[in-house]
Amino acid sequence: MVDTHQVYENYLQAICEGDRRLALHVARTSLAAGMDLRDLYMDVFQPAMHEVGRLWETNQLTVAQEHLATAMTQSVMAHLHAYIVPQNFLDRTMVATCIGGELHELGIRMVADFFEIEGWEVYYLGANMPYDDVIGMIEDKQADLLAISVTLNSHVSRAQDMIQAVRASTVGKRIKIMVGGQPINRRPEIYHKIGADFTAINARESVQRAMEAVSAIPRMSLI
Amino acid sequence: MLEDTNEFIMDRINALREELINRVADAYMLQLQTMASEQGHSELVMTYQEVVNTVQRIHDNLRAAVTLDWGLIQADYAWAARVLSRRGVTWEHQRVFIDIYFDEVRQIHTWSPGEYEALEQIAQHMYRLGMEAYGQEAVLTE
Repeated sequence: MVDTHQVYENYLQAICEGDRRLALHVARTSLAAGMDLRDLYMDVFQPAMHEVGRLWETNQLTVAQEHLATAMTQSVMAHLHAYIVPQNFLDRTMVATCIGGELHELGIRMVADFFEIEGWEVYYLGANMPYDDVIGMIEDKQADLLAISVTLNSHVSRAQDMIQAVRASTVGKRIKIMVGGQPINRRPEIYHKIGADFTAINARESVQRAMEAVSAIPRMSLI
Repeated sequence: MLEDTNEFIMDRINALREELINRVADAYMLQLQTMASEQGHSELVMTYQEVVNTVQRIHDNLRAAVTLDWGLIQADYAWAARVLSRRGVTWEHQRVFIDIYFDEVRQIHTWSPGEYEALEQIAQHMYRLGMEAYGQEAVLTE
């Protein structure tokens, strides 16, 4: 039985000290001991990053340390991607992107990995994608779902702009759009105002909500 | 406040986003130097790029607040009062920013009397939310 709290403490210490090898070791050994990758994300990485944010806000970490901790967690997650074993094949496709820069990608990367584990085909496009490229990818991959992550209040309008562009395109009627992130979690009614179909408070819930949302969309015929 | 007029105004302002951001950043950079040298606000030191980033963030935040939910600005000011004040960002810095931003907005486009009045209401609302977050005495009226 893995002591999740101890894994959290060890991981937090590693990223606060800037020790990437230790952080990766903590993550790998917990998986080897039987911890589910999704639990590692939700119960270790996510609270650890919240704590890093709190430590920065209270002047206990510098901006550089906070950025390093974020970059290290992204790096650890990239290593752990090899551990993802899809549970089944759902014949559903998601395109994911985020508003902002590289340091704002962590949440949507977690969400993308959750969808992949559940058996979705996932295309993560990175941050700050031109709207036409997002639309092109949705069209090219016949995606069922577009997931947009918003991490700052000031990014909400840009998410709205992206959604308006997608809705006005040829893929706009078919695609379901999910938007998530801190500003939306604090004010969930915003998702509707900016034109999304639904929101979810975390990666686990986003998979459930997405399955409900796309259930009405007929699967694309392969022949 | 009239939502349709406000949205129209923000669309107009946003269409001039790049020019406005540069103008506000130039004016705010000068004012920061004055505040540091003449008014004792020497704790806050920002590069020009940091000032530009700040102007972009506040402009985008204001746009979201006016068109979607004023709570977004409220949350941002509450965060700034809690976190940024420890890094030298005072209410005076925020007040001066609002002064400069709306001065530039007034000049960057020819507004009708109705739009001008709506613009003033947006500015006053922003002052009020900032003052509340920073625990300042409310002396402004909407």
